[in-house]
Amino acid sequence: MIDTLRLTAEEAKRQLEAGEISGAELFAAYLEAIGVRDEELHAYLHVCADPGGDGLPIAVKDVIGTKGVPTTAGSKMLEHYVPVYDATVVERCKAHGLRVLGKTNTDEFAMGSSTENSAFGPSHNPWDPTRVPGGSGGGSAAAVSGGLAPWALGSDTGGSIKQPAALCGNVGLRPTYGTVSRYGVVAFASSLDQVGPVAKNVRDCAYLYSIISGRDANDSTTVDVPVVELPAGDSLKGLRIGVPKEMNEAEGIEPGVSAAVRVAIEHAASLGAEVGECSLPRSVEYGVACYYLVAPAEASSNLARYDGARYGLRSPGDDFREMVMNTRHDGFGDEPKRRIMIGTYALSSGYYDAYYGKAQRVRTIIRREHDAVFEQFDLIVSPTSPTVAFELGAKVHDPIAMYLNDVLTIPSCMAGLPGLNIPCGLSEGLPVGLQLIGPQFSENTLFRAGHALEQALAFDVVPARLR
Amino acid sequence: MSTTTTWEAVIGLEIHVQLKTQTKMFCRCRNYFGDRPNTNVCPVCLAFPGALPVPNRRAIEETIKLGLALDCTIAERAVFHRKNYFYPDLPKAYQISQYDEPLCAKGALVVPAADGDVTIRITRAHLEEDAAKNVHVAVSGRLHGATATLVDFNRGGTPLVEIVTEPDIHDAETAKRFLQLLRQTVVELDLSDAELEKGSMRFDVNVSVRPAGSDELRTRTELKNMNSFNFAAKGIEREIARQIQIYEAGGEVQQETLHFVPGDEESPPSRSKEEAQDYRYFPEPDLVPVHPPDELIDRLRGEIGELPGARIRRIADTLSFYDADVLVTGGLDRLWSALVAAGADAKEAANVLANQFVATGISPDAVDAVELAQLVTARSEIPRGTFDEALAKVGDEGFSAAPYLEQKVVADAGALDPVIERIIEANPAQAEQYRSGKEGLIGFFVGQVMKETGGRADPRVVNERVRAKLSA
Repeated sequence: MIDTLRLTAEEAKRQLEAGEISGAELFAAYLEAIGVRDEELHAYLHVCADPGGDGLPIAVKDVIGTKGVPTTAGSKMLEHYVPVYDATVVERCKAHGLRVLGKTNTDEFAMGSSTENSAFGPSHNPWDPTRVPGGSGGGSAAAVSGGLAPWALGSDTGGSIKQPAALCGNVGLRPTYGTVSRYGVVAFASSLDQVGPVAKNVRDCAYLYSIISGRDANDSTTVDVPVVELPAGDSLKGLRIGVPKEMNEAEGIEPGVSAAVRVAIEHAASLGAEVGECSLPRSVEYGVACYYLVAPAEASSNLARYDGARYGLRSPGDDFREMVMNTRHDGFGDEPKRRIMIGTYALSSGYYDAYYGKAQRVRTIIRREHDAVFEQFDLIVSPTSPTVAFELGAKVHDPIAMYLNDVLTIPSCMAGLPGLNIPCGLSEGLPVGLQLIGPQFSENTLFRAGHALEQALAFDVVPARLR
Repeated sequence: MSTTTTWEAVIGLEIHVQLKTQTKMFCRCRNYFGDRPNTNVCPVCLAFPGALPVPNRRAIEETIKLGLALDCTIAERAVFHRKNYFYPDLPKAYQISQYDEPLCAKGALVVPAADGDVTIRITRAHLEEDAAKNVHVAVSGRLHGATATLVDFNRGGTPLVEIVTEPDIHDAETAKRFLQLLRQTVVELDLSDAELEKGSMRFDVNVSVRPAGSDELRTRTELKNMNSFNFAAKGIEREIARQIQIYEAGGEVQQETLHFVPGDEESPPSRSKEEAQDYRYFPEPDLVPVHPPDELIDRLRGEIGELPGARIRRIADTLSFYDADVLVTGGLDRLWSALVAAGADAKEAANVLANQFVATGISPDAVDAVELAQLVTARSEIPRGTFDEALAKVGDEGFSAAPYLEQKVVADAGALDPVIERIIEANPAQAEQYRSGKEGLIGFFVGQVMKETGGRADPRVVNERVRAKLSA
């Protein structure tokens, strides 16, 4: 009997290689778990048949293109769209023998923090199905925590990997911008989008990152990446950890979240890390505002291709203009429409300098502020999300409250920096996420620190109600 | 306005040239559009979700090379921008183009003229991707007169260089000569076929007029779709005249675009109001800025030979300016130099090339200059028909002038006189009429002699001898 709730990718790989289980048995075990629990969790939008082979199964967020397998981006616009090519990350997974289990739910075009913006209905948190799994990559996080996939691919623009990982109690990495190819990933905000791994522990996360990262001839923003080291030790000796005041004392951080994060920081100190306070005042104050100009601006352009002419939804009209208007009216939900309007406005002549131009200048300030902190510290820590998983429906009518959920993840995304979420405890019976942020290309440091803390914290990743 | 005002035209040009790279600007599709529609396409140039652009290095290099030939400053940092608008031929709904940081800026092209050089400043030369091709067709259906638009994406995403001039041109002739010279430059640098008929070179012309001596810039109109240089010159002239007429009648010129009917110079252009489009330009986040290294620029500069403008000026020292201009802009001057080097007379060679050779449609590259030089030199000594026959074959593999040169013209009176005498004897009635004043009959006799000698007789000598014999 394969316990998909506990089985890590590393252990599954070992069992496969030792011949203790077959590839078919493993894939079937996940399909069975999906059959049992996905009606409640709705982590998947599409489940695949076993393509055969002995590799590990993997779940893929539905903004990541998969050849021959529907890729909807959580939108009616792409409800029946089937890509003719694999995204580079999927190609690399397949080259490692990985088998796609299915496509996981997402807020429409990855715009949201709860999956409630999915045109196909929200996913539910495996710890408490009345609560959201976070977003936009709530489907991938719920699949991993719910035992419906050993690991998964997510995508992160302003927190869409780290925040769901925090709310579902698993490990998620948003890599350094440029280390993972975006080719074949439905674009939301090109200068921020990054694909990354979601896993049950840091070693699995690092291993999956090693598979998907590296320069890609099809994405000119990618670069060569340092060799990934699987973390093993439990010492943090010599590591300088900064605790940014504004990110740990921000208004709206729940006391239970603060408490769990404080305990994690104490563990870090007892493992030998030098912990000190630091400050990122402008990054925190202006990060969200800046993000909600840059991301919608790019989105307004990236989503312009959905015109009904070549693929996806087409709502007919008497001429091209009318067809485009009807298609976009019918195909996009409220959130993409809201962001397209904000972004179009921000780029308009006469407003460009005041909005998009200024946001880009603020972005430079945010980057420099982080650079300065990393002259003194190897990494910084804070809660990933100010709150634990909230109830479905709690914020759907208040976009600003939803946007503020990302206040702690957004600044480092704007700076292009890597961030790792690890679960660090419970508050009100729900997981609390600890965010580790490092300078560019510091993934190995994040893995090392994350792994050591994970051992010390001994968090049980299986949702209490499912044990 | 007083009717004594003299007017000056102010003309600026915007030229698009399709680069003939192997592949498209941002994907690996073949850069070729004679194929069946929508066969040279991929997820990138069809703008499928997730597809990303990767710039064509070759296209960037060629744009820099053109920039150098136009004496531009090459940017240390060039940026691609997105130009956003919805149109069926634009699958991403944005064109990747360049905005405020183009690859090449602040250049000049010196256009030689008979009465001195004219310097036209180049504002910028930048690289962008071309749109696909819309084909509007009628469809039979329930709706009477319904039409559909088909899109051929083979052209979509092919590399296009845009060259913009300052409004430094003041007459249609200079505009035409600038375009000819630019075209020849592009062709010689081997960047593009630059064929107007095929659309691989296209241009828009901005025209306004102002009182001579003033430096104001009045409302301009934009002329589009003129697909020949002569057409352009004529269109510009007419537009200048139209605008002057409006001002002299006390009216105002409206800012509008005049769309000509390609290939039809006589049809009046259709007019459309210029709509203020907001393209919402912003830096293309899928691409990183281009930093052309100095070594690259030096290498490209080294690959540029003597440019057409310089050659016109050099050749005009030997020939007339007109001949030099025709030879160079016609791509004939290298062959001309080779003919002169092989011993042909400079003027004679220029005449043959510019008038007769060009009409044969033979590529100058296919010609053995030594053989053609012999032909040029012997032109007056061989019959015209023979010369034409030889010229038509001068591009053939292994062409030799020798057999044609043997067919010398017969100009020797001693050889022609017996023939002439025989013909006069055989036609006594005509000879009598001539002698009694009907001098037009000379042509009859000359024709007979030419016929008898198989066209090889020198008509000048025949004429002279026939007169002499008839008067004897």
